[in-house]
Amino acid sequence: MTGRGVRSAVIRGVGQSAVGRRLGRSGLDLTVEAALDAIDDAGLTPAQIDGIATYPGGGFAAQPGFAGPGAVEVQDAMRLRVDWYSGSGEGPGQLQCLVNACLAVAAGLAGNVLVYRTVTEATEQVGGRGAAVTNPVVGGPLEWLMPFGSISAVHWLGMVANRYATQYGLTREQLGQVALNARRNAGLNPKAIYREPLTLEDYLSARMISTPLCLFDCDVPADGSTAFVVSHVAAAPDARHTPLHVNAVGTALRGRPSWDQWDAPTRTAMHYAGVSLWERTELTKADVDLAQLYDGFSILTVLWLEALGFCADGEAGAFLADGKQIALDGPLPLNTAGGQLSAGRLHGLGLVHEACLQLRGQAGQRQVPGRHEVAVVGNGGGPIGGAMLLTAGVR
Amino acid sequence: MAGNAVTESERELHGLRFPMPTEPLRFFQPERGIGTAAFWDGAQAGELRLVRCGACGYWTHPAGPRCARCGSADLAPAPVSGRGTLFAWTVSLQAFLPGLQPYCLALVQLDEQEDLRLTSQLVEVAVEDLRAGLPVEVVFVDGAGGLRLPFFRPLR
Repeated sequence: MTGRGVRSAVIRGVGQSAVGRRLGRSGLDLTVEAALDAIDDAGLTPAQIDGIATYPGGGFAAQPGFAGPGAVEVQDAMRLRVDWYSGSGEGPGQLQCLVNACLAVAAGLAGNVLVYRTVTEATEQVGGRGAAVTNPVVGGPLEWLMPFGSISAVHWLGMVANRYATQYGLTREQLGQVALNARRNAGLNPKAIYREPLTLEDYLSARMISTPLCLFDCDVPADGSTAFVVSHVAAAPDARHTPLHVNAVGTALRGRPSWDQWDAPTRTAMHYAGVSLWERTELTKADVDLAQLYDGFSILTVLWLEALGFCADGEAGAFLADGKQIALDGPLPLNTAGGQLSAGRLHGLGLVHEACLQLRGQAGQRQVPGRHEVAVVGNGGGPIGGAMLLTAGVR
Repeated sequence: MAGNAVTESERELHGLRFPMPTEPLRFFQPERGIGTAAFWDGAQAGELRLVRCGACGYWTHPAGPRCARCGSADLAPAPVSGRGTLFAWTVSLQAFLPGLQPYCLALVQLDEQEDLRLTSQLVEVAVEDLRAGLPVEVVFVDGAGGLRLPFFRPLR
């Protein structure tokens, strides 16, 4: 049963801190809460953790509350004794910390790796601090965007959404299904930030942020930490819960990793992540029971459906149209905890957490009915993309 | 197909026009570093300059140290016609900075080459006139600190 490469690894434990708006707690505090939850869930003690992996790691300059604590801060705060650690902002999207952990386990550098992603964007961006100009001089790729007023991800992805809509005729009603589906599922998730019902009328009348993206097309900044324990498959019989197998990862970078230099909205980084995922598995999209697809902006979820081959280029709008295909009781339950749009922007790993709960049959009221053995996760958008196929039981 | 295309003007957009700025724009300043200064110097001189390969003629933006097509290091800034077409756009309505009025960001495809594009703003245009393929031409506007920026307007 021992696989090679990433199939040497299983997700043995999952954990999450409190999640909310403006919790007023430090990122380190939330991280330790999530870490202890995941380690306990794995049936382990902190003394048995011998590796740490996080995204994006310490020293990562970004808007306030984005980065979370670095690996060395967590190692010190928990007095862990680790044989390997990594905090890295470049790789297959936010999933890279999980991929790195799998590789460390496969290489024998560590046996039980604590993986986490923490955000405190809600607390730290109060009063518009997120948009504060701390360094008005920009270089690198941003030198070609920000001096022109293209200063937010909503601008960069508004442009992608515009091009997609003009090419393929995506309607607001179709795009809105991503947000409506997320809100329906969030209503069944006690930890979701926005749980009150959202109607199509509410969606269509919401204020525009940057066309064609309205308020409900943008995820909600949150405070929270998500943690996992990744272990070697050989040690998994000791696990407290069903170990989840990492069947394949999509990590390719074959196009231009840019916010604005893309030839087609359907050929950004996520497309190649999706292609490489399916190159590495004998499973097919027909085997997938549920999908957790990045929804930092709703258009990204549309594009992920195509990047992973669930829809041909330009056909995701029709697939989404009545919302039934992606509903909990539909053929491809999507973002079952409410996604980042309604449950909160835990930045990618919240979606992995939900995939794990679903595969273990522990998703409570929002548990997908019927078979829940294979889940796909897509993380990232624009120049960033990573995908992961998780299975319950050996595949 | 039911519903309105997302690109159709929404309530808040009706009647919006994007005039030439009358005050210097105060967005972020470019670094004007090695390999990027020529672009900004060109704008200062009222010329849109991008980087072209002397060996094969291929344009690249943003440019790297070698030609993206043939690998030659024989790269130099050169003026482009400043004419192109509208590839994609987004109308920014959220006031990310205090007092910011709605504006139209544009991804412009230049006539020189099919994959030669840059992010800019479209001015002297009404929201109703926005469409993919709209012919546009460069026009230079003032930024803060003496900076000049290449924006675009519908081709006259």
